[in-house]
Amino acid sequence: MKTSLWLGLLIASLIMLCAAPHVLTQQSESIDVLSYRAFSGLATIYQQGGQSPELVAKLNQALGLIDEAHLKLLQGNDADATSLQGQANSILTGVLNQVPAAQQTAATERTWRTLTIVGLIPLAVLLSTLLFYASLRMWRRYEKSQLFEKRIIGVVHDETKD
Amino acid sequence: MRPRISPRDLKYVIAFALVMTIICSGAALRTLYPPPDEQYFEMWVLGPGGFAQHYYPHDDSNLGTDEALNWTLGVQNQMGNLEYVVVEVKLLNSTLSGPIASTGSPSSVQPILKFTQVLVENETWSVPFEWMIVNATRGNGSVSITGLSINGAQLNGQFANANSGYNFRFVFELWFLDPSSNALVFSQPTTVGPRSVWTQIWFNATSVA
Repeated sequence: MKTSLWLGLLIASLIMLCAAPHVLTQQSESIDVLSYRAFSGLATIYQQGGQSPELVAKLNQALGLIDEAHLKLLQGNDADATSLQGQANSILTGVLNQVPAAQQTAATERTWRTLTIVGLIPLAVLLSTLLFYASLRMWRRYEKSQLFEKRIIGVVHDETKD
Repeated sequence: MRPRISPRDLKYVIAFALVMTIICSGAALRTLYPPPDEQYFEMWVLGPGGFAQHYYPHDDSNLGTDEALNWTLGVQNQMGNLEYVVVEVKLLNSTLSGPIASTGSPSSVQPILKFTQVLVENETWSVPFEWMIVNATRGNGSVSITGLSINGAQLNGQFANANSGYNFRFVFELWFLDPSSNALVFSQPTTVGPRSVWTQIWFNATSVA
């Protein structure tokens, strides 16, 4: 009985030891840091050439609430400040949850855009070269016709001389 | 069978194709990775109606209590990317140290208010800044501003004091999030030294009760 009690205590302490850092991290992570994380996620999307205006709008909504909460704290209205921070927190969590999917979409769009642009290179080269070739042939034909005309004129000139 | 193209023309066509490949690859590279433009933020303060004039009621910078001032802060993001910006509003007098442009250091005074926003590239952000002195106290030849109303919110405290109420100033500092340090910074290093963005507007509180 005593052994099983000690064993139970040991297991409980191990679980608490494992869980404690996680809980502490979550507690110490201020709402500002949460907004920085959300912003970093969105910045990655824009760096990849993607866009996510709806998530930016949500982040700005949360930032507005955080600013308002700071103002309420300055006014000594702690209850309203806490409530506003709670709202901001829930919006930021929502943004953070949607960021990976938006990043994936941006990455896919970027790949397609790269493939399209790279694929257009041989097409543009081929079309312009064909156009150049056709122009060259036309020029050669024109040169040849000019040469024939010169020869005929030469013959006519010779006949009148005789 | 006679060839359709002479060896000389074939050389021309191949040379043209090579030149076109180089030109098209360069254009594609420029499209995929455009060269960065000059990166900077802009910030300004405008008076009523969005004009750079009539900042004070009756154009008199000697303010009294309950005289409403209607300004608009503007920030433009020309950094070429999404930016997290914070405008810190500080109330100073002439002796409290303001931001120093040459060193890129901000004022050491605590901000009384912050405005935060995420701006996309080339976006302009306008923030209304409607304020008035609600309360000020006189004593020993100086005036202390102890009550302010900003955008409808009343703030109380010892904000700043000035001799006879002369030379107060609102300083607006632009801070932005540095992705490498994940912290707000006031200035960015450039080839010509640190670059910071801030502006200030002076006023006197000589007509307070």
